[in-house]
Parts: sequence; C-alpha cells; structure tokens
Amino acid sequence: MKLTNEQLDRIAAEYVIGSLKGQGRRRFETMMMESYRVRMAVWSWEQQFAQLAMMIPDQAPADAVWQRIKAQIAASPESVETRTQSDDKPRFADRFMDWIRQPWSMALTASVLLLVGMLYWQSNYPTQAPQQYIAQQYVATFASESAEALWLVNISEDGQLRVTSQGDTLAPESNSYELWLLPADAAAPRSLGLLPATGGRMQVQLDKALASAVAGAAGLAISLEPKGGSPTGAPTGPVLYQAPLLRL
Amino acid sequence: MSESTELVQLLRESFRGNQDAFEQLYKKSSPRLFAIALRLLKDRTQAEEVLQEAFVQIWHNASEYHSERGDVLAWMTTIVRYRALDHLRLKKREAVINEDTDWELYDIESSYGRQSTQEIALVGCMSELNMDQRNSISLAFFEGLTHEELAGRLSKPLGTVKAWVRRGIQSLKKCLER
Repeated sequence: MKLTNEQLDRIAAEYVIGSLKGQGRRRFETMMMESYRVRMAVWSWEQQFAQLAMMIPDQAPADAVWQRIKAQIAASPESVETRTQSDDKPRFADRFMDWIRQPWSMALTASVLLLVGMLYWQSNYPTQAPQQYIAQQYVATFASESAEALWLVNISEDGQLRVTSQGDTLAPESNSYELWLLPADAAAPRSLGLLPATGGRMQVQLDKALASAVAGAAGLAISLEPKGGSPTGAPTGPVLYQAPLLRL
Repeated sequence: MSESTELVQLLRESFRGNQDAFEQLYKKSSPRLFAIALRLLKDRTQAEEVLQEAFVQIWHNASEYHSERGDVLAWMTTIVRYRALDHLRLKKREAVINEDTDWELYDIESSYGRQSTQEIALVGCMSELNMDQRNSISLAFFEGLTHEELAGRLSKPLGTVKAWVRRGIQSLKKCLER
C-alpha cells in the first residue's frame, strides 16, 4: 500500500506519539524497515516530539541503575573488533566526522586482519622499561580506497608509537607524509611524526602529555606535507587519510 | 562546546568501546530520560528497567545514530519512549488499568522558560491547537494512552477522539511548516 504524504504524516505522528497501537504499529514498523520515505517521516516527528518530552522535569534514577548497565555491557561478548566488523559505516552528526568518516569502513575491516600481524611484530621488539602512560594499547590502520593496507599504527601502554608501512607508501619526491593525532573536542591536531616509506618502520617514544592525549582522541590523520614535515606544526597540506584509534 | 556537540562526542567514543565516555553520556542524559520513562510508566522500578534496557541498546547501537535523527538527546529520547511504550502495553495487558487522576495534563504554557526559542517550534504549535486536540495528543504522548483509553478518559466517543488526534496532527504539521 502506497500512502499519500498526508496519510504518511499522520500515521508517522501517531506512531511517535504512541497512539498507534497493536497490529497497526507492527505493520507500520515493517513499512519503516522497507522505506526510507517512511523512516524520514518518523524521524522528523521524533525530533519535534522529543522537544515536548524535554518539558518533563528531570528525575534522577537510582545509582544502582548505572551499576547494572555497566555490568551488562561489560559482560557482553561484543569487543571493539566485532563492533568494527558489524558496523562498517559509523555515521555521526557533526561536520568534523563528515570529513573524517569516509575511509573508515575499509580501514576498520582491514584492521581486524592486520591486528594479528601487528601483535606478532610487536612481540619481536625488544621490550622497554615498562612505564605505563596510557591504560590500553591502541591500534589504527590506514588503507587506500581499494582497501589496500598502507600503514599500521600501534601505540602501547608505555607510550611507544610504532608504525609499519604495509603497502606502497612512498611520498612524492618533494613531499613527506605526516601523521597527526586528532585530540578529543576537535582540538588542533598534534604531530606524531613523519611516516615511513614503502617497507619501512618507525618507532618513537611519545612524551607523557602526548601519550595521555591518545586516550579519548578522535583518531589519527595523515596529511601531505613539504619534505621534512609541516613547517608550522599544524597540517598545511591536504588530509589524505583518517583512521579511528581502536582500543585493544 | 555545546551540550549536543558534547553528547555526539561521547556517543562517538562509546561506539568505539570507551566505557568512561559512555558513563559520562549516562550521567548527562539519564535524569532527563528517566523522567520521560517515569512519566509514562508511573513506576520507578519499571522506569529504571526501561532506562537500563535503553542504555544497553544505545551502547550496542551507537552507530545507528546519524544527523537525520536530530540531536543525540532527541534520538535517545525516542529509544526510551518506545521502550517505555512497549512496557506500558505489557503492563496494561497484565493488570487492570488503574485510572490515575493524579497526573494532570501537562501545562505547556508554564514550561516555556525551559526552552530556547529555536527549540519551541512544536511546543509553540501545540499551544495553537484547540483544547480538545491538545489534550488528546498530550494524553497520548505523556501517558501513552490508546485511542480507546483516550475516549474513556475524556468521556467522548472513539470516533470523536480519533478525529481530534488526526486534526491536531494536521494542524501541527501546518504550523511547523510555516
């Protein structure tokens, strides 16, 4: 059944208000699954009626509720890796994410496969004095548009940043690829250094301030810079790749 | 950073598995969301159950949020509301309906002060409806009443109440498009 716009609007509103009940509600939910037009109509009313819901004075729930939620999400088998497999296109509202999100899906998928190799490689590295700067290890993978792995990044608990080149990562002759940490709150990117060319590796010790900015960072980015890196301390060339940091 | 930008940030971190960010998200939004569930269910234990279910759902489905859903709080509000409505159905099937008259109609006019001007589109439009239309929509929305229950509460025939809701929605739509 094809609804007229007016019918659709009314039923969508009744769905959101809650007065659409029983069979009608279930049927409409099926239509939502099948039609973008129907979903759009619902979303539009949801936003309007959410304002009405905001008029109810706040009420604090018991503290125990959070404890139960925490226990439930901690007990769930879903890990960061499975999240990345099941959701290959995270979409978020703010414009910052609009430019950061595109290359994610492939990079995320690739990361699962590359993780194994990364850990293997890392286990072969001589271990440093175990000074812990951050609570967890983080990894990120950069992939080309054809899903070819380019760089693999690992930041360990002691603040060691390790990058391996996995693919063809030779920069144009007069340029270098520079790696940036995108801190939380969309603060200015901070340089993590120049990236190794094809087949190369780099390892640097992040200072404590930089290492602590890793937890909660929005992700990593790579820009094309003049040879030797950005002359200003901020990205000057185009941002070529972005990747989220995955917590291990 | 505005509150809604902050919530987007926290949701994004939660999507990546950051439980601290998720806790912050909970702290910032749960009093609002709990109030919405409590208003529909009128039972703290059940409202807390709904809140718990909703947040577990948000944790697992953070990636389903996108800008077309409005701001993060609006999106979370709808998750809580639909959960609460489901519980309400179940509850009504299980128990004799206890007509609770302590919950008066929500006074829209007196709540203007809590909203910034750009947010009151719907609220402003609600106040333009005639009383019958406004009461029917408010009762359905805040109390989760069905058409039949509305008819009982307002002592009017079912057809009359349905028409109030329908015309009320049409008027809201026109008002919002102005």
